[in-house]
Amino acid sequence: MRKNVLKMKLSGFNLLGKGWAILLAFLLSASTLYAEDLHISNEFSLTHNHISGPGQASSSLTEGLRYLNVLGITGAGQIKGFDYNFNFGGKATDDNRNDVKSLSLTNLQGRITDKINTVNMGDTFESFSQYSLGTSLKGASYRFYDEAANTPDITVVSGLAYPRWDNVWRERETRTVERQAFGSRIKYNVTPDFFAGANLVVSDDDKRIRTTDPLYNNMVYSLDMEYRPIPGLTLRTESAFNDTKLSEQEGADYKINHGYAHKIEAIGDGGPSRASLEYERIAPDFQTLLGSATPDREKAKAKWRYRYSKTLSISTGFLWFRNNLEHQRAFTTNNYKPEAGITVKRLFDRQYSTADISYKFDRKYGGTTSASNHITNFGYRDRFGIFDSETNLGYTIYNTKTRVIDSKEYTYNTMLSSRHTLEKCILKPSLYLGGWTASDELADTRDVIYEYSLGLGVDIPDRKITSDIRVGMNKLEKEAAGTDDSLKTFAVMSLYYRPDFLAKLNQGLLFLRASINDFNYTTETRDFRETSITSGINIQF
Amino acid sequence: MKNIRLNLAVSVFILMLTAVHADAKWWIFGQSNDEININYLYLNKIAYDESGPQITVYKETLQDGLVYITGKASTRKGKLGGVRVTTNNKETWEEAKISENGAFEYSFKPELNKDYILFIEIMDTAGKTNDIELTRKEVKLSEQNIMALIRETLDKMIEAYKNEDPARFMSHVSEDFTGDEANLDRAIRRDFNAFDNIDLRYTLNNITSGAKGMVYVSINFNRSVISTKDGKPYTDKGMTEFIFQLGPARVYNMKNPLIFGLSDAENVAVGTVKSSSGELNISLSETNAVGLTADGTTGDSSVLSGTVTLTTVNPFTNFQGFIFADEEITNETDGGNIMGDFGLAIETLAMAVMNVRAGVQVKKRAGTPLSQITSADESGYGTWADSGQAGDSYVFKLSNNTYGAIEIVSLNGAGPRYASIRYKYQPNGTRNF
Repeated sequence: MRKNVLKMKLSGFNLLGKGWAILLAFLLSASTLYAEDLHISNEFSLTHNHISGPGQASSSLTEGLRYLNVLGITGAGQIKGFDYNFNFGGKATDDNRNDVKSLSLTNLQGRITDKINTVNMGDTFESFSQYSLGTSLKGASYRFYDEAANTPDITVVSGLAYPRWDNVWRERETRTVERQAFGSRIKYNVTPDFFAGANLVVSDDDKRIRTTDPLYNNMVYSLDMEYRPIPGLTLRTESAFNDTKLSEQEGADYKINHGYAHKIEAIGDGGPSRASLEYERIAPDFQTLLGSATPDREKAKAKWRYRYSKTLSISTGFLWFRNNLEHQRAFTTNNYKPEAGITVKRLFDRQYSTADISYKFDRKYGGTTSASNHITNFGYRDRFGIFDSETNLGYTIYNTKTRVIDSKEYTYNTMLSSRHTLEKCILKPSLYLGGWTASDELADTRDVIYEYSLGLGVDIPDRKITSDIRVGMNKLEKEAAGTDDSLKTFAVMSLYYRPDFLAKLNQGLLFLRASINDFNYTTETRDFRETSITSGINIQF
Repeated sequence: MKNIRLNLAVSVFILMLTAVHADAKWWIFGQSNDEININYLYLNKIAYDESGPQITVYKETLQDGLVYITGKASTRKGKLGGVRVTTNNKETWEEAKISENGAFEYSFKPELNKDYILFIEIMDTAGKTNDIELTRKEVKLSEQNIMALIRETLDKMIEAYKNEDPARFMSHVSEDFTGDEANLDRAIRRDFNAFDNIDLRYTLNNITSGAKGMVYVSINFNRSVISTKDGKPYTDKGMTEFIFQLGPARVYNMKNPLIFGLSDAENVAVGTVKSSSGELNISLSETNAVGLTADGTTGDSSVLSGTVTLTTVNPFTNFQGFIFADEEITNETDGGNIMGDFGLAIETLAMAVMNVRAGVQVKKRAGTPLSQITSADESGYGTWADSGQAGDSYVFKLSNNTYGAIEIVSLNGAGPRYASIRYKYQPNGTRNF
């Protein structure tokens, strides 16, 4: 029975009716024939999961035997003065938690250039500027730039803004709103220290999946510049504007919005010091669907890092932002986030010691919200005899008025590790002890987490074997009524082996990973146990 | 006010530029008296001190297979004499190309499986040099392709996140992170406060290298956590996107649904990946309550709240109600045909009758202050609820599947009677207040 199931699953590989699979095979053949530099990597793994207990629905594993195969092919070469490269890849799995599609194309890209003209097809990622375009398209782009003649640097791009190729085929499991995009950028180096770029990006949505899907027709035009007035100082700025038409749901009329986004940034980088200042203002109606911006935000940011000496460095930062720029909300919310930290090396004249301490403040207020959080951390790393140690202590106060949150959190953990050579083996034992305590002043309760684990790594370099095993437990104790305590006991192991017979392929790796997690809750109907074993092979040539 | 802020920003900028001319090294506090200053120094366009004591360069990303060191140096007195670079721990030195203005460049072709230990020596015409030891850098060439590099970085981020190690996690985040490093740093700490036993796995959907050293990444993820708030397990899966900046790969942009920093999704994520499957994803409220929402977003986290007074002249024909979304008081004339989301008819100072509009469901929380209702009940609603008195609260499930809650703070008055009501309304469809 199991054999038949496996046979049926593996028959997924035979779905050559898929257009992309034919294309993949064609490209593979073509690339093998012509590419001067061809690399193929493939990782195949089989996983067997077993989940038991009344709460097994809470497991994130899929019961049974499952496979995953990830293929990647890259190639490069030259044809008549043109450099080209390509890459394509695919993924096959029968585990719905890995992918809803059993067979999917992950990458398909080809690029050719004579160092002045460049054409890219397939996966196309042209990063124009922050506000205009910074995402991948399934389409094509053309770039013209002659560096020697310092010509304007011109790029045009067109395609569909989909996260995966399966979206293009619009199959039932993966179809989503279609977003067509077109963009152009012209950049000119006015001097070696100053450039300016103008960007235009248009996107148009179509083909709703649900009646409540919003559809946008958006145009963003922006101007970005960078100037280095003196060595070590960089000034950057971008201003963008948008014309947006939005239909919020099926049958709704298009609303028209216009907005703006401005940003200016100064970065000083020299000697032991690096400082940066930034100011940004983005209107509530600014929309960029292919760039990055948070509408309705005014922001100021400053950072300064200073290396006082070889053993002492200081870092500080400040962030402020607010919304309600056009008084369109009932109230304005302000956020202040200052922070400071010091790192000291060779403390107490100890060669391997490093201590760092930091304080961060998080203030948010507006309307009826008023939150003040104080975060303090102390870390210390050192070597004591044969042991390397790393210890972290944290103390955080969370306070949101009035009587929303009032809690104190303590974290404490330490890791001890060591390394010993025993003939041809390297043994790496380690011990982790951790804890977390949270006191809720409002509910007058105290929650605690204890965690410990013991690990042993064994490497045999001559045999090209690395392995690791770790066992431990994590216990959450809660005081509040109606909540659950939980106890997780776990064991994980991994083994990686690079056998000589696979080395002939350039690189080859066999691996085995296994884990057992046992979860127990106060509510026994939530208890479950999961066992997972994965074995696989990774080859690269 | 807006103009004042704009003027202030412009003034600060102009002042900054003026300061630039006044003292070119305004940001090098107390250190501008060195005989030799390195104005800037980059290794393959990454700030030299940003990359730490060791850096791995990736064959696929190298321009012409070369590692480039570019910089600029200046002296307080005299001129620069020359710049030398060693790649073999000071065994041999080579001259870098240097121009009149102090800019210099050096390149070398690294080989696989070989370690390079770099030092840079900058000398003025009087023979004085920079602190060479400060320029020590170990360089290693990796044949790993971009996909392997991104997988390795994501694995490290996930490992740090699962181990609740904020410093290690943030070392993989770019200084230019679009959601701001400070927001993400605070958000993951809140995540660690809210979650225990984080488990996270992913498979790659797409990786695309782009201009400016950016890499676009789309993944499917699969996650389980235990909420420290209620001790219950939660699991979800979905698709999300990242943009990484190369050098060492560092995350530059993340979208909803987030796998990191979801306790402040509103500020950390820029954009949303629309799922075709309609999966619900784990989200966190301001009070750390875990919910499952579309895209893992809590929408506008600004829960509407406030206090209003509702008047009753006649508990049958003339009393008032309230619409949560509009924060608007309604005049009610018929308990069987309520215009607001609810109407409160005060019969006596110990009995206020709760009426709700058709389609609205209500649940009474007797004696529970509103401040203790941090999330709406999952079930137990009805089309009516018992009358209440001061100190009682009610939770409402509205017809558009949003939730509101009120507390009767006080009932008073003899002729017209007045109810002082404290309310909260979550417009985004989650049960989190």
